[in-house]
Amino acid sequence: MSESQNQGQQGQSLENYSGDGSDLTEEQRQYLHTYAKHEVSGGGDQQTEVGAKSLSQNAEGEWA
Amino acid sequence: MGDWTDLVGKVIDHANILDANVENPQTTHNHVYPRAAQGGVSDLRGWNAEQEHLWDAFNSDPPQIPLVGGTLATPNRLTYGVSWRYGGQWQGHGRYVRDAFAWVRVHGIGAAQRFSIDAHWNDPEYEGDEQDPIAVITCDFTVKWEQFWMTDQQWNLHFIMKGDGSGRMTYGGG
Repeated sequence: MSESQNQGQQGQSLENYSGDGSDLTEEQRQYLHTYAKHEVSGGGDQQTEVGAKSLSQNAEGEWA
Repeated sequence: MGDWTDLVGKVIDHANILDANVENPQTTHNHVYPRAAQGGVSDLRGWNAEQEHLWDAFNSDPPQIPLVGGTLATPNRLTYGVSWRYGGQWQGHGRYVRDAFAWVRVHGIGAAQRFSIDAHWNDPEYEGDEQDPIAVITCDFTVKWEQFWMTDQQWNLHFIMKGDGSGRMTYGGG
């Protein structure tokens, strides 16, 4: 059996797999890890920097 | 070291804020204020009502070809970061930090995907004049991502939070 046929068969047998992995062989886990893992998708929100505030801005805030 | 720069208020060193996909909120917050303020942050005045925030969002998607069926259709969506309040003064000096905490929000995690986030808090510091210091506290995140029971990626983030309201997040190696 060729490698691609083997992979196709693996995919077929794991088509609806939703377990915790404890019943899988190492080969099956490796298969899922190689062919079904998520890809990081772009961008997303982030805030990497904020600027200093003046004391007068503070005074507008609440008092402890 | 003077009264205004002998700093206390860090009460938690480490928080596992995401433990195998389960949010574990950091309920104990860190502060940075002078030891001489014996009533704690309540002795300081002028706290800004607004919290500052630094965050990052992580998104990933299952493969386009549905190799393993519908249960993997859920994308991974997480947002994580830090928040703090700032600007409190003690006897009219300095600008200090209160209520600093690390957080994570899980919007979705796919099957056979596992995330964990460790937040490590470093000791308080200050910068500037000893009579009028700006308090600084920093926090390091380690984010671990496992896919199909194997570690896929691990990355680090460094957060700097200051008493004047400024802050910065930087990405480390992974």
